Amino acid sequence: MAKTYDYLFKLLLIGDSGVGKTCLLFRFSEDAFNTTFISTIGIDFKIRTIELDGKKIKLQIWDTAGQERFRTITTAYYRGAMGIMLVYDITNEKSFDNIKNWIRNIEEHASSDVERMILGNKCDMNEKRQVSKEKGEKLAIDYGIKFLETSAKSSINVEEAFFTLARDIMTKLNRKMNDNSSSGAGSQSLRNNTTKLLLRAPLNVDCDTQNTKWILLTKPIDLSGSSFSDMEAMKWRHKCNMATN
Amino acid sequence: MAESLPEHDRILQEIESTDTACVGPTLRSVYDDQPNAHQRFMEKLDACIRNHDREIEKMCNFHHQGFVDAITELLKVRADAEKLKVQVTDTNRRLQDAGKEVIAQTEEIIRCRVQQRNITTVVEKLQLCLPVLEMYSKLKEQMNVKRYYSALKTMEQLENLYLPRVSQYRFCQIMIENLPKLREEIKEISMSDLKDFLESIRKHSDKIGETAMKQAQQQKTFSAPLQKQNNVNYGRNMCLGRSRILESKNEITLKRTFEEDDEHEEEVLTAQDLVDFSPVYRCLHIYSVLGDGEIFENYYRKQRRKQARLVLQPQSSMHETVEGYRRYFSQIVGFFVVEDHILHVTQGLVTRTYTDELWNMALSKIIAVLRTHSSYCSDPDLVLELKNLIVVFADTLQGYGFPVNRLFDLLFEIRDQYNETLLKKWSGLFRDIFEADNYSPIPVGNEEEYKTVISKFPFQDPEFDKQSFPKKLPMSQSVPQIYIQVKEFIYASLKFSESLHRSSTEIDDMLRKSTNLLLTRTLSSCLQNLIKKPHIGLTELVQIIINTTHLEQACKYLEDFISNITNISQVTVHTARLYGLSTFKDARHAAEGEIYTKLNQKIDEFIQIADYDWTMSESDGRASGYLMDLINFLRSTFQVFTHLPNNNNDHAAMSGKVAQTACMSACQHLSTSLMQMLLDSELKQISMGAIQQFNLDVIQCELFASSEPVPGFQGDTLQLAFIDLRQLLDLFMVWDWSTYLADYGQATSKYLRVNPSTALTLLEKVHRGMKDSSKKNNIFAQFRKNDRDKQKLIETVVKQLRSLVNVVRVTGAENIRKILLGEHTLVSTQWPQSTQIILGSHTLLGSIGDLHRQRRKILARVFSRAALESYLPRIQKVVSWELQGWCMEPGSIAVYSSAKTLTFRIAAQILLGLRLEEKQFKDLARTFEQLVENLFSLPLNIPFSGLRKGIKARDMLHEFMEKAIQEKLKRNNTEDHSDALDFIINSAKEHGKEFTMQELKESAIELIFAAFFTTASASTSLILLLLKHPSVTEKIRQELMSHELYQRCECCPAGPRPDTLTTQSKDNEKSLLHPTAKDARKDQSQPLGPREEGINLEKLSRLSYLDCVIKEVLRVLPPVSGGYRTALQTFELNGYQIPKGWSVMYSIRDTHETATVYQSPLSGFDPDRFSAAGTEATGRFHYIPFGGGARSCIGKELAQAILKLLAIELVSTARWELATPSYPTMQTVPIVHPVDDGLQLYFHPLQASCGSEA
Repeated sequence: MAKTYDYLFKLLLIGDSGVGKTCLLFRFSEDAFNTTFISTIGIDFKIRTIELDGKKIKLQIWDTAGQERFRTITTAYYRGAMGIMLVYDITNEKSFDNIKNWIRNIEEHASSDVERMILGNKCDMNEKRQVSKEKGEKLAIDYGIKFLETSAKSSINVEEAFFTLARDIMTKLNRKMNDNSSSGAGSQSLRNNTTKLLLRAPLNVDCDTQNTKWILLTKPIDLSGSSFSDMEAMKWRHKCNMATN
Repeated sequence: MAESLPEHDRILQEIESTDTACVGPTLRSVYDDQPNAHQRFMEKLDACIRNHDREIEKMCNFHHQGFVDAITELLKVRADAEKLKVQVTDTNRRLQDAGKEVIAQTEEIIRCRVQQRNITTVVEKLQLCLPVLEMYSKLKEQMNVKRYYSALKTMEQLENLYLPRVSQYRFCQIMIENLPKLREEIKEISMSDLKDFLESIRKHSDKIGETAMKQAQQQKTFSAPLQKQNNVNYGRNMCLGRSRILESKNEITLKRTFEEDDEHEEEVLTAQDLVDFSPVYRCLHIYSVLGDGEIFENYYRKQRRKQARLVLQPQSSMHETVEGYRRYFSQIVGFFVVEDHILHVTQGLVTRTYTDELWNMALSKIIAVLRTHSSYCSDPDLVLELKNLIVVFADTLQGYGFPVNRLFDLLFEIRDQYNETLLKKWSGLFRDIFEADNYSPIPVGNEEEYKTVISKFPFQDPEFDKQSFPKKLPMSQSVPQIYIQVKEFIYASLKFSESLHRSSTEIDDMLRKSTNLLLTRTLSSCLQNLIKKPHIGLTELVQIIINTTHLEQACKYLEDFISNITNISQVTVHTARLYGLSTFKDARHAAEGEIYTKLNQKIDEFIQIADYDWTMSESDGRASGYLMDLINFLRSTFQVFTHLPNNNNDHAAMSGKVAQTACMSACQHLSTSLMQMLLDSELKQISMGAIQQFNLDVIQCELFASSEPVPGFQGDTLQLAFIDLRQLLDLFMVWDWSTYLADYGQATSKYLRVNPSTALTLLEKVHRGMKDSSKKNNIFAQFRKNDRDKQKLIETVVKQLRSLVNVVRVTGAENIRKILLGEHTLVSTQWPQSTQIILGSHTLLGSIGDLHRQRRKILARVFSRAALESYLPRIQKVVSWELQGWCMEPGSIAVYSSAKTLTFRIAAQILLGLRLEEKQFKDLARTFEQLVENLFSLPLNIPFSGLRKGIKARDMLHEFMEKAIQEKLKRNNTEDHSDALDFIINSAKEHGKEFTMQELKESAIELIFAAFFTTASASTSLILLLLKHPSVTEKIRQELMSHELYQRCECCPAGPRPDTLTTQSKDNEKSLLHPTAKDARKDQSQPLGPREEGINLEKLSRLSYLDCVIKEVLRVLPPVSGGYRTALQTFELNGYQIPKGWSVMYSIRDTHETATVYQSPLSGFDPDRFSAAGTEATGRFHYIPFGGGARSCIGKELAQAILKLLAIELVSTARWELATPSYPTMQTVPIVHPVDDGLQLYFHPLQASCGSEA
């Protein structure tokens, strides 16, 4: 099966109900806008492939329900996320105030190195603004998070927001990879070599054939001498995360 | 001479009396007679003259006196005459004088008279001329004052009356000449007048029409209430607001209508009011007077026709406003009102036919115009107004007696158009409603809000009423809105039908039809569009499903609503019902379908981000991330699905069902997607590690399926979605190829759902992966024998699978005939490799072509009639002996095993002529069984493999056989050949071919193999079927009795005995025999005693019923269910191409079961079906227990004989019963036999009581 992408980033959209998460996603994935408010029930996702530095990146963006009653369903998705968009509505003070709670939520449920970003949505409705841009920026600075004011309706900053988040994740990934593969092959050579490099980890497998149950005894993977592609590294990291969790 | 005298007298007389002219001839006659006659005649003549002179003298004398007297007298008169003369002359003179005066006067008088007469004449003439002149001057005068008609009259008078009388005068001539000119002049003048008139009516027809239409409308509006309240005081009161004139007019109209007067007069009045018609009359008069009526008529008609055409030509922009239409209609009405007026007022200027023709022309044109113009119309209101206009128009003209039906027909067309525009409009409305909906249930905070909703939409739910406020209605806000809009539509649609002169039934019908259209087309397509919208998610779809249910329920209320409007009770009318139901059902299905599609799309998206490392050597023991995400997503989606807000009523059940189906479809889709991923042709190799990883993922899927993501699934229904994958992966993980291949095609197979081609594809990938990886690690691989073995195994399995994949199953007499008879040409026998290895290369079944023919010929001797005859008694003895053993056994007998022992004994002792110790025999039997068991194994000669075991068994058997044959060959010289090996050896010699030891060994093993299992199987089937059908057993027994074979066991061969005695003695013999059974067994091979020779082939063949029974046993349970052949060339079978090299499996069992010959009387066990003559003839390929063609069973006769002997022995010596609670199931592969040797029977000797007595 031919692989159609180089990276897969999982992003998450969170924020109060009605701030426009679904609309942002709809704008980003379909470049369309729907005025009617249809509240998201449970969870949904969209996938869009973008190109960054010549790499094909699949963004799987999870759209969560803002409503309290779906909180249990949605928090389950925090952990796998590599980037989280915190969205508030600039015409709704309360949604802005709640950003703090959302950040707490992230700290509680998401992995610690998750990339975050704050979006003040509905910036086309300036006349109804309740939260000033400065206030938003200040909050972002306080938390050390990037900030953008967006409008799904007028298509302002939507692309930028997602691209920024994707780039941040990529940067972090590259940095980590460089840290990990200190020996040998840099990313430069890998970029030229597009063929898939194999992650070969010698594992001992004990097969109890009668019960057809497979017990895997994992040994630390010996990385020396084997070269890693960016992708493999990322996957590796991801697997490690899974393991530690 | 005497005689001449008289003759002269007579001539004289004659001369005197006749004329002188005739004297000549008379005289001649005198001369002619005699020469002297002339003399005498002369004399005579003188005589006569004298006579006459005398007479004259006498006379004169006598009249002389008288003469003298007369003269005297005359002299006297002369004097008197003179006197008289004078007197007369005198008188005459006097008279002459007097007459002169008179004449003068007379002349005077005559002159006067003439004068008088002339004067009278002049007077008369003058009197004639004067009126003419007068008339003429009148004419002139009339002309001057433009009284043309009177002028014409005058002219006519002049011409007809006056002028003819005085035509001689010059002035008259001039007049006559002038008159036509005058007429022309008049014509011209009147024509120009007419033209002016035409101009004016053209100008005014608009007005006329408008007025006429107004009147018609008013009349209608007034007559409508009038119809209802007949004696209401109408008139002034009702028209207070209107102008005086109108009022009075209306009054007139009303009165007239009411008095049923002719309406025309009144309307004509208005026409006359507006237009002066006199020019027409005048013109008409003038022309008709002038005799040019026709020309005028033509001219008029032509002109009017032209006008009509002009009038009918609509303005291009007409359709834009109602005014345009109104003007158009007014003009037309005006035109026809004028025509009508003219028709009624003038005589013959226009005729009814003319106006009708004109009207028809107009009508067609109007309809055409309206049709085109109304089609531009997109505004329903405008269409509605247009319709009203048309109605008024039609009504007006109908009032004038014009047929307007076609207009009403047109109205129906326009109605459709109207409905169409309505539908268009409503489609937009619906779209907006759907667009604005939030697809969440309508919250109702209190009773009031609830009532507001309920007032808009019929909703009843006692359950719902019980809940306390605030609560949520099941449907979303679009439902009441849609409902209201449908009602609005019905109103709008109804508007058109008003004043269309249609019955309420028709209107009802129409309303229903258009409502149906709205529901089935507009709403339906809106719904379908909505469902496909990208922003409509799963929850919205569920809400749509709920919404449609409510709308569907509301359909009933819509029907009531329509009935209320039209006053048609639903009970009486069974016309068009609303079938909106289907719309909503369809929409619901579409929504459900969309749910499944959406879910599948999501799954696809996940699948697309799957990134298996297909070359991984080992799995890390965790399911793939994408799959966990996918399963989490599905889980939460279904969680939301089943916890939708309104789970308190039947909708929850409904959406629950949708959720179930959705879940099932999602699982199936996931399963197929995963399978596709595995089998993807672009994926060339898969490592076992990847399969492990994949297996982990599938386990996750199964866990998900078993965790009841949606309630209501029975057992492991959902898990079954992954069964194909599961079995496939199990097969690979356990590496259970032998089981798979062995059980292939059986319903009980553990890997039933694994398609060989699927397995093949995957295995090839794994193989490739393995080769690849071993290539990489080749330094180590060389030392890894394990790997090599595995690869070898894979290669073999791949071959096996290939043969499974390319198998064509053949049934049916005709097809099988072709296959069986096509041996050596179309097809060739095909035995598994393992069989060939184990049995060797010198076997009959392994050989082909000429070699096969030759072998078969040699071996045929073994089964010749003579050979059979020689086997028979010995076989009988073995059977009898074995049976006794069965009967003696206190416990149950496993029939199949025992039958195998029996048949092996027959094969070993009789066919091979082996003399064996019982222990030796048992060892041999065990070894042989091992050989046969492994005949169909994977052709892998590796330790502990089936093939290895089979080969071992073969080698042992060969060893044994070699010894036995050597012995035999030594003994051979002395003994008569009586076993099969003897037959083979001799037959081979006869055919000029010496069999080698190897050949002999192999042939011997083959013979045993061929006879052993199949006959055992058939024997078991025979026993089973006889047990099941005691009546058949009884019939056999009777047949045996009738052939005196039932007493066969009798000790004394001397004649028949009473039954009791017979059995008695038989039992006696048995009881004697039993204790010494073991001894007896030892010397079985010894020549049989004479008493046992009772049976022979001829006797057997006489048992026709038994024959039928055996046939039927072999039909119902053919030991071999089918056989394999390989296509030697591509050929066609029953319309199918069978490619060269493919395997063909022909099914004996299926053919037996499906052949129509055996369908009646019943397809069950029934030996009598073969007793009917000619059954066999119908087609021998219906019945193929022994196969057919070149490879038909060579031991057929022997097998049948063994079975018959067994049957005879059984029936006459034993009875048997089931030791298990039920009959065992039969397994068909590789040979028919009871599953797990499950046929356990108790055998009892017949008359056991007697036996014990003895």
